[in-house]
This record gives sequence, structure tokens and C-alpha cells, in this order.
Amino acid sequence: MSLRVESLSLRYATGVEVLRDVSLEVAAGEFVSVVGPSGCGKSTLLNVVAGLVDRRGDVDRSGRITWNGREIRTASDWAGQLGYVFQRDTLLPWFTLEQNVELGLRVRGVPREGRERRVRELVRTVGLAGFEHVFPHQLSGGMRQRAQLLRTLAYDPQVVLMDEPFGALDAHTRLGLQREVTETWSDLRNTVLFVTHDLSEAIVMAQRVVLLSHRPGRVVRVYEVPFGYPRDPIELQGRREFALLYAEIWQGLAREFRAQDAQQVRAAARV
Amino acid sequence: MSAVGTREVAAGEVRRPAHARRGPGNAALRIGAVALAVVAWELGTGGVGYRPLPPALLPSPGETWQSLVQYARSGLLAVDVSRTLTQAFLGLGLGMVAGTLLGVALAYAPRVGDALEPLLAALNSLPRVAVAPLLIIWFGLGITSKVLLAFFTVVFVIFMNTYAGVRSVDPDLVRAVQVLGGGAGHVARWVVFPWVAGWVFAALRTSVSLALAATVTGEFVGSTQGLGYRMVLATGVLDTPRVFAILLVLMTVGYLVVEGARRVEGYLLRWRPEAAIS
Repeated sequence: MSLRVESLSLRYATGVEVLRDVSLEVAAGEFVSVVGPSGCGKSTLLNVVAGLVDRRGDVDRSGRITWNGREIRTASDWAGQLGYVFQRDTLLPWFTLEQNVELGLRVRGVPREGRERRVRELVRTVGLAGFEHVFPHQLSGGMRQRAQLLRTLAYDPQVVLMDEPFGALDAHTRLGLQREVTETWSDLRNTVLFVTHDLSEAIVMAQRVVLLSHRPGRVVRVYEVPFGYPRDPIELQGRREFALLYAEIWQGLAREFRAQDAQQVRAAARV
Repeated sequence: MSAVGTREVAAGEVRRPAHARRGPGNAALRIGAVALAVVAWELGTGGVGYRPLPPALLPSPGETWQSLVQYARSGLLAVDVSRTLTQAFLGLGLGMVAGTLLGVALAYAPRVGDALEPLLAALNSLPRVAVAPLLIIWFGLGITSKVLLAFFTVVFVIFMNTYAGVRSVDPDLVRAVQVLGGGAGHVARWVVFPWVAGWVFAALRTSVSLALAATVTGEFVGSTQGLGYRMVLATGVLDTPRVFAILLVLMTVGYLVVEGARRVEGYLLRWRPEAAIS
């Protein structure tokens, strides 16, 4: 039982190489985060795993993605087992919060009563009760992101991909959501691949941290996070072990930042 | 989610929907403004004993009102209003349906769309009223020629909006539905259709007044009934009070229809941050 990425390489028809020979394995029920300099292909990696890239004609990719041994090429290969939380708010603006949260359940043919019960229960746990019939544009950024999380959790997917889900939020809201998500996850234990550019966030939430190199993205190293669950992301950041691990990963990350910058300078010089 | 601390959210955090944000306006002031306009009109047409222009050039409010009452009593007012509105709404309805279908079809067949775009743009830049005489020749003085003129006027506006709408569907929303497990049918129903409907309804208000204008113009050119037809008759015999009465009717009908369209639009697009209301 695992999500495997096997020697994944990806190149755009324009010649830009995004990922090179990326292999990683996420065990079922594991929370893994991915960090790397911006533009290193983190989001692309998630999109390939989700099966959103294969249909595009302008990419050339090799390697395999498998979930429990079954190969994933398109989103439909997930057979409804996948959840994806985007950085950008992708709530459908013409549907109310409730209608958005129940979309996954409607796809799965859950009858109305069951959907309503599930939505009511979910909405209460994140403090969105009373906002069920409100349109997304009437909600704050934090509320919209919570709604997006609920939409994913509503149908209890086995695998959840998150692409910088808190990237657009203010620091305070972000800390709150980091805690909510880790708490929820320690109950549900679905398989999570979490992309972020924020190293602290990567450490406080996950069991392992994967460091990707500058473009084209390769796996530089995988770090074990020595903290159990339930954990409090805020408290954790004050610990000595956190500081040590942060410093260790940071050295690797800083090297990639510098390499990425140098690459950009060279590219600019060529032009 | 389990032991998540319940978060209190202040009611003020929720913004009111756009259609509710607009106040009712000050009704008294609005009525006052209309009254003021009527008084000025009265004063300029002999209200204080001085009348610079004869009734045949500028009738007074009283003369206009009399003519209007006479028009209504004869039963012709109702006949004309219903004829004009029937034509305008038939043209509008057909134009919306055909424009939407054409827009969707061409957006999904980009090669055909690319090929037809210049032709359609050329047709679109043709002043629509210029085809009115031709339509009268082809379809006669009856209802058909006016419906077609209104249709022809509206269909391009709707088509252009639909076409632009389908081509601009947010790919992130499509992806969001796909990763929820949704198939092509779900994407069409939940993303493409509402997205395009937004664009089509955003053009509703413009289209309503275009359809009405086209109908009246068609009636000027040739017809046997309708407000435009009656106006041409009145002009022919220099019955200016009647012309004014008909203008008043057109103004009122136009205002009500556009206001109705604005409300329908505001309701249908209430999910938008700022619905196309103003």
C-alpha cells in the first residue's frame, strides 16, 4: 500500500526541463511534505501525480506513478480516491459553501440526506456553521481555504495532495490552519503529499520532508521528522529539535536557492 | 475534522451580496425629479401664459396626456404595445438561444470558429437597422420581419459573449472538478454552463434595449401595427401630441423592460463579487 513516483522526468515542448528522475515513495497513511526553491517543479510533481498533466500535448514525460501498484495516467485512474487542495481558491463561485463542499459526494452518488448530514457535521468542526448558504466571494480568504479543505475531506479520499494550501493566507490564519490540518490528519491518517515553500510548515506538519533541487527538480535528500502526533505546530517551533532539523534542511535548501539564482543569472546573460 | 477549536466568525466578516448592497434609493427625490421635469415642460408650453412654440411643434403636458388617453380608449394603445413587445421578446428569446448555441458550437470547434470569426465580426459591424428594408421585402409587413430584425440585432451580441465566455473558462475550476472525480458531464454542468450563463446574462440588459430599438425601427420602415407604426402615422399628419404620447409610452415600456432585465440579471449573477448592476 503506497504511492510511488518512479523515475519521473518531465520536459515541456519548449525545451524547459522541469523534473529529472524523481523517485519517491509515500506509504499509505503517511504525511510527506516537499520543499524546494520556487520553480523547481513542486507543483508540476503534484499535477503529474494527480493525473492532470498526461492529456496535455506540450509535455514529454517518462516514468510511472502508481497507487497500490495501479498506474495513474489521468485523473480518472484515481477512481475517486484522490483529493487535491489547490493554493488558489477553486471553489465554484456560483455555488454556495454547502453546494461546494458536497460536490465530491454528488459525484459519488450520495443521496441528498446523507450529503446534508455530512456537510452539517463538517462545517461545524471548522467554525463555518451558519455560512452554509453563503457564496464564496462573501467569505474571507481563510474561510474559503477551510471550505476547500472540507470539500476534499467530505468524501474521505485515500490520498490527499496539497499545493501550498496556506500560501495566500496571513501568518496567523496559516498557523491556525496548520494545526487544524495536522489534528484532522492524525485522526484520518490518509496519505498526504504536501508541497510548500515554507520550511517551518514542511517540518511541523509532516513525518518526512523531501528536498527537491533547483530546476530541473531532483530529490536531493529525504529527512525524517522526529515528532509524533498529535502535535502542536506552534509549540513545536519553539523546540530545540525543531531548530536543529530546520538548520540542517536549510543548509541544503540554501544551496539550491543559490544554484537556482546562479542559473537565472546565466540564463539572463545568454539572452 | 475532530478536536478542531471552533472558531467564532464575526458576522461582519461576511460581505453582503452585490444585489443587496444597493440601497432602495430615495424614492421621494426620484419622484421629485420627474415632477420637476414635467413642471419645466408645462412652463415652457404656455403654463405662464407665454408659449414660444405652437402645439404642432411642442405640445404641452396636458395636450400630450389628452392624446394618450384618447389613444388608450380607442384600444389601439394596448394592441400596439403588445405587438411591439411580442416582436421584441420573440426576437430577443430566439437571439439568445441561437447566439448561445452558435457561441458554444464555435468555441468547441476552434478551427471553424477561427474561420468564421472575421465574417461574423464583419456582419456584427454592419448597422443592423440597414437590413430592415430588405427584411420587409423578404418577409412582408407582418410580425416576422420585426422579429427577425430584433433577432439579428441581438444574436451577435449574445454570440460574441458566449464565444468569449466558453474560451475563457477557468482551467483551474475544470481541474478542481476533475480531481473530485467528476467526468466531462460534471465539468459541463458545474463549470462550463454556469460560467457561460454568466457571460450571456451579463449581456441581457444591453440585448433587451437593442431588441426593443430594433423592433420600433422595423415598424418605422414597414408594418401594420405597433408603436413605431403608430408614430409614423402621427408624424405624417403632424399630430405632434400623439407623437409625444407614443414617445412617453416607449420611454416607460423601455424603462420597465430594462429595469426588469437588470433585476433578473442581478438575481442570476448574485454569486458575483460585483454583479453587473448599476
